[in-house]
Amino acid sequence: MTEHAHNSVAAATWPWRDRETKNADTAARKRRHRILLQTAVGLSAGAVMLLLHWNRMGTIAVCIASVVFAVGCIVPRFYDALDGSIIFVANAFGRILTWILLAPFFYLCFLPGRIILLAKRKDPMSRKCPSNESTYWVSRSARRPDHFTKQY
Amino acid sequence: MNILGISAYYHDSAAALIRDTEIVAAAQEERFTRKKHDASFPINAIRYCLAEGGVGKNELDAVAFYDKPISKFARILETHFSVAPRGLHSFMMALPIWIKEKLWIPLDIENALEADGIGFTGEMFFPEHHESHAASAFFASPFERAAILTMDGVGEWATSAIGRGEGNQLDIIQDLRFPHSLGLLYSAFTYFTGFRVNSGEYKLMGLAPYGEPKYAQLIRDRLLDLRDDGSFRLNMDYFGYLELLTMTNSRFADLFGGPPRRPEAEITQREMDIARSIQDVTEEIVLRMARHARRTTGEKNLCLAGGVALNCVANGRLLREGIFDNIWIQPASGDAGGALGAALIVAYTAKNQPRKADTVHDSMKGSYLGPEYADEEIEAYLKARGYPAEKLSDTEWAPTLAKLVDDQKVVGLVQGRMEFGPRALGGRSIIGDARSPKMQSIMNLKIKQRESFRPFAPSCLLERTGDYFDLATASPYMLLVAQVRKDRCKQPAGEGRVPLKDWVNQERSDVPAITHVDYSARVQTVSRDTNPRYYDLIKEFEKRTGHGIIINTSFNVRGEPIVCTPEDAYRCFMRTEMDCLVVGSFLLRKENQPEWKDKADWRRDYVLD
Repeated sequence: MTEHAHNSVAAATWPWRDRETKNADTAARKRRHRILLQTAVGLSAGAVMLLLHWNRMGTIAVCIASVVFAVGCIVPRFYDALDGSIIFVANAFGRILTWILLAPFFYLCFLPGRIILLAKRKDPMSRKCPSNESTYWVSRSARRPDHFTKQY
Repeated sequence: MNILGISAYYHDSAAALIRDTEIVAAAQEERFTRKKHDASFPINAIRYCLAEGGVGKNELDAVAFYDKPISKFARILETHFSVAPRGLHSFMMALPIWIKEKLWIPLDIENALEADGIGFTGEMFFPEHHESHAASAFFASPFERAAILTMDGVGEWATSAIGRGEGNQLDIIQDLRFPHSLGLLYSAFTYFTGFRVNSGEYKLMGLAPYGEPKYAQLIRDRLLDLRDDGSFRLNMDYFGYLELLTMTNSRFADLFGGPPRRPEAEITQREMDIARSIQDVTEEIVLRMARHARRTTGEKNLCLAGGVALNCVANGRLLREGIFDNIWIQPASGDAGGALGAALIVAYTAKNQPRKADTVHDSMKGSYLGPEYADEEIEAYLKARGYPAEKLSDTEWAPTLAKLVDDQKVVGLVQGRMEFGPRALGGRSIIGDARSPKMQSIMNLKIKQRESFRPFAPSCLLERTGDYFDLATASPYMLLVAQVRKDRCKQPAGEGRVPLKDWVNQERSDVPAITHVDYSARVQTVSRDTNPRYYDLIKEFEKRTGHGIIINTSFNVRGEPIVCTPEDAYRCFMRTEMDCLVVGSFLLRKENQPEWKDKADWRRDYVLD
């Protein structure tokens, strides 16, 4: 292997020399992006609310956005903790929401589907065991021309 | 032409790079993220492969993903249609992940490559899961033409497949379909005996020799309908993986006389007997499938891949039965190898590039397809961290290491390129003296920190294989189990009537550390062609002791991925009771190292498998 290849492999897989600096830089960059994004979203939401004359809500949104910006710039560690807590709550909320939306969908969609399959005496899982088939091997048909480029 | 292969999102994510038809690099993501069986998008493995190949901006011609995601999604939906109203929990586990990431794989790939400054405007390919496995076995094999048998948990629908390869073409002829899966059957028993699914299967295999096949007939009678041609159906009344979050259900537990063993609970005779029984049934199925593959294809060579092909006991049996004249097994037979296979099938079949095979040499380069670190880089690291080390010259290296092993030292070895696949083959290994009756116990408990029943494997000079084992073929990837020669075996006193931990440590041969309780060993044959430094080390050991054989176990502790960088190796070295560490040309002795300040319980870094 050439020295260049060695160096690029080491740089790609084992950046021990500048790992701490790199990690800190990446974390700081990510934090800056999050602060700016959250502030922008907060201020925009606040502006819209104020335009709609929802003054109290709009003021709260602008205040929260301003606090997030100030804390992020002045006390980044506190911002990280705050951000982590918000993410935790958001994830928990997301999970609950997923269940609220998907559980009814499961019963509304899949249960009737099962009933139809039962009525038609079809079992995509071929669970009959033993069955009277001479072999369980399934012969394959020839590949389509676009076989390798399709995701199905 | 640069083709990148990717496997991801299930277990053992990996990337591989093929240039024209040459395998340039391949690595599993877990080695870089330090999370065993990491299933996340293999961005680190991709970065490595592209760096190894010197692939620059817009120089990537094609990307191959190892399965067809939409077909797989359709199978998951059909499964839930088949079991509703049961299966809500598994549906809730599966669907959000599919919606969030698994349905957007091409986008993920493009974004990842764009973010890394590679840029990609080439074609994207999606061979089927079992085509990828089959390609990893056939195209990397030394054969011009061969039958191919792949067996694993499940791909899109296929769970096992029989195919034929010739030149640059590969065709799947027949397959078995989900939920009837040999891989899932074995995993169900892995779960039931208290080991982790997709991780602990090799432990179940290692446990089998301690038991009797008491349940084998019960498995045949109640759990499956097995045909002469190796095809079978599972009786799904006993399995939970269609609708539950567990592999087996209460009926299965009733059948085997009680609930599943809890992880880390004591292993009883029941678990040993179950392990032996399912191992016997698995071997029977594999043999029948192989006979059917021979009849169907008429080929005399066989290529194997898929997770079940890592069952080296079954592989050894297949070899001994002589159904095929020659067998070649892909060393990265699990899903990681799918990345390589996907890239290979695109390189050969889709791009129609010619293939040459000499019937002797495979194209895996000894499976040393991972990163290697230059001595200058290692020296700079050791100096910067203040870790005392001796630099060994090329002539000193092998004799010094051989002496250390002869002196009963346990040596961590990091040299050359990292292995691709689950086995350490002398690039990232821990080595020791196979003659020592105590070495197995020392290595298991003080260094590997794993279950005491698990055996160690030998690395043996290729030309000395016949002196130690009943094995007439090379086994460079540690994928064949063979019996230790009878003239080397001893009958230990009180066999079978002692506790498990004593049983395993009984002296059974003149190389007791690698002789399992059934007098078998998982052999790695070492030749100078693929790993000259490792070969020279064993050769020097042979000169000192007369034995061309040493213990070789993977360089990690339980639950940890095999080490990749010298830094990973140093950490593992200092956390365990290893005596020495060799990194490239540098020898580090434990007694010279500064005190290791570690976290309170570093074992929590790793999920036990």
